[in-house]
Amino acid sequence: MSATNTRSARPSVSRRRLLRRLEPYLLLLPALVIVLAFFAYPVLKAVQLSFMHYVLFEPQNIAYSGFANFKALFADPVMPRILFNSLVWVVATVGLQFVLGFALALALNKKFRGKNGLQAVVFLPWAVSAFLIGMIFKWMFNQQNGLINHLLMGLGLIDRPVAFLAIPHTSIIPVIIAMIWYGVPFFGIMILAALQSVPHEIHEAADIDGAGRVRQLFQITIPYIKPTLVLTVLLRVIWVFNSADLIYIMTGGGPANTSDNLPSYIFNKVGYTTDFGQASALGVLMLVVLTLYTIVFLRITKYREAGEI
Amino acid sequence: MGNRRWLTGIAAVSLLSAALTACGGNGNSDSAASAGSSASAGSGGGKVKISYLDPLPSSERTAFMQDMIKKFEEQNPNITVEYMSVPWDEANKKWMTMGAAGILPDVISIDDTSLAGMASAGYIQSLQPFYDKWDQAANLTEAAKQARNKYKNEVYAIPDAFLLQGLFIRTDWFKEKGLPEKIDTWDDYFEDAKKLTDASKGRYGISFRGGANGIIRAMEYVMAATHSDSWFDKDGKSILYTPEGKAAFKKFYDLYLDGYSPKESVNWGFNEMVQGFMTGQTGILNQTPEVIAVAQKNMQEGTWNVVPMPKSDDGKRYIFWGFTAAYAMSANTEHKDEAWKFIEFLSSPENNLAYSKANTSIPIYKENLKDPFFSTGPIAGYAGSMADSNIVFAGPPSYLTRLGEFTGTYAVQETQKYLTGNQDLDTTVKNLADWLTKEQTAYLQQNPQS
Repeated sequence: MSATNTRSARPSVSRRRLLRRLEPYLLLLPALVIVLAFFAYPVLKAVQLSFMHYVLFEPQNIAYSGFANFKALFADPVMPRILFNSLVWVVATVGLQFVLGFALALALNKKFRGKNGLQAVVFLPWAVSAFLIGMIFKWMFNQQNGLINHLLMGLGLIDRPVAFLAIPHTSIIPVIIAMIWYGVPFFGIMILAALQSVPHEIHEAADIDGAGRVRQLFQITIPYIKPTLVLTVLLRVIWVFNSADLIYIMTGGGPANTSDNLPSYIFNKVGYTTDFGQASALGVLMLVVLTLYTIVFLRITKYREAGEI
Repeated sequence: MGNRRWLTGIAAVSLLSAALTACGGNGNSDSAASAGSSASAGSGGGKVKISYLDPLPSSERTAFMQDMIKKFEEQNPNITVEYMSVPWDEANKKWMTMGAAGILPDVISIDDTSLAGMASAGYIQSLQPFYDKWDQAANLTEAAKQARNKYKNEVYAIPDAFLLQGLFIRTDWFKEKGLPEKIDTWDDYFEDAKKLTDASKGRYGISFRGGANGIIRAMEYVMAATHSDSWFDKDGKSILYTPEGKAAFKKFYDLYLDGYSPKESVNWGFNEMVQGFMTGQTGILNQTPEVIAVAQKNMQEGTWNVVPMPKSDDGKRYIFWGFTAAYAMSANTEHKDEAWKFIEFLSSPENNLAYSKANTSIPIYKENLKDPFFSTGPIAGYAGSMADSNIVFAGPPSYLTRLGEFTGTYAVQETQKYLTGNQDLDTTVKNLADWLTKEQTAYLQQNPQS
């Protein structure tokens, strides 16, 4: 009796121990499954496809093709132009969004009458769909019926309407302007939230010590909110780099690809070629570029030491 | 510390998801949305459930199709039809991804440009066995019999109705300039474009298509000018190589270069061309009949009309007619007979007439063309061309599986470089001709019989 008792008790103890050891993993499992299914699997699949000849129109002809997709990407004669456009697109858009957003946040970080109403209005663009913004700006820049041509003519700056969206090499500028307008509120919201967390006492102490406004901005405010600044710039660069919608709507990348960035070019191309292999190669390349960018950016900005003053 | 790690985590996750949505966006993800339902065909009670995918949803059309489905279900109580739709701009991708995944609905409406690709990939099946037994086949128009609904000489789809090009004209502008309100020949076309242009008033002759598929319009003129019924000569060489072909290409693009079309039209696609005409920027618009409804809604009566496409100097009309939503059957359907029954129902003379009227498109039956609806008003500008016997089918080589890539991207880049002065005529024409000839040669090697 007693022998059987101890025999049955021993496994149950060890089983309980095992269960206890596994418990955290079991609790993590649902989250892990979601991450694996929706992040890891697509990434691995994209990597796999990038090494394959995979054209939907040729289902009989699907096979591994080594680095052919990557070679084709680099051999594309339009690629230098597209990469240059992507760089201009990201630097101009994020740079101006950041400066304007910062200014907006500083302006709104004061108490004045009607602040809430104004705040709601200036943050509105962020809530409008990109499609609508694209259509509105496209009409504003229209040669015949556009508001901007109308204003410029009225001011006497030009004597005949300009087809802004049809000028090679500069037709990306109206799109960048639309994109800046769209993204300023994002920086505004994020930076304003951070500004409101800066304790008043520090500014008061600085006032007493005789520090001027500019000095306070650069030596107190900016260092204090640096983590937010670094992170918002990091995220915006990634989003803007990946965004193609406004380009697609306003110029379709034209004329002759001079307003295409990397995603809009490949989106357009794959839509007609159904070459998923090449699209995946580009996706993998973008992932690598953005990962490198993230690492370098966080190093340079000393993100780990940020926020400690 | 913990706070910082959390932020880094957020950054990493956002980075991943942002990168993923950019590169995988048009991949498999979108096919899953409405696909699941098609697989669950009704098995109980002998009731068969088939599904139908419509690529042209609009409030009017969807209501019309659902009304058709209701009538069909009344006549065939043992069959239910599930209506699904996908917006036109996404349709091609959707068909391909659903076909690749083996979840294509039983009946799909498909356009003639995608038909060859879908058939060669084995995503849709031959309707020849049904077509051979179909009692209405003899009543079809010549245009319907010659339609591009075949792959390797077998019928793969029954055309819903036809669309073809016609010329929308601003009759009031024509009156102002003392021009006759019609465009008989291509020479008249170029002459009118010049006379209607008045840049100081913001008026231009032509709604030019510099964006996607604009090359198809240019090639129509090149075919008419060179009296060719194909983009290629007998040896499979592009007609653009010939001096006449190149001259015609130049003449067509000179419409833009000489300023008879707005500067912005270098990027114009369907929407922009139509808007250009509706907003009074352009005097002539080359478009299909579905634009009539838009014009009726947005323009004053008596300021516009539709006239047939111009004739070439040999007295023939080189035109291209096609369908956008022919009924095809999925290769993996489990209910072939029911699916055919539905296709047959939609294609009956009575339903075809109602459908053509509702969509202002040209019916597939000879008898239906005699209906008064098609001999009066703007639609007569289209029906007139189709009734004429001096007609040459001058369509793009849709059997080339990479044609969409050519008309949608490659030719757009090349012609836009030419139109913006970044590439000369000889290089442009040679690049286009080389690309086409290479594809045609490969096709002829694989399909020697044609």
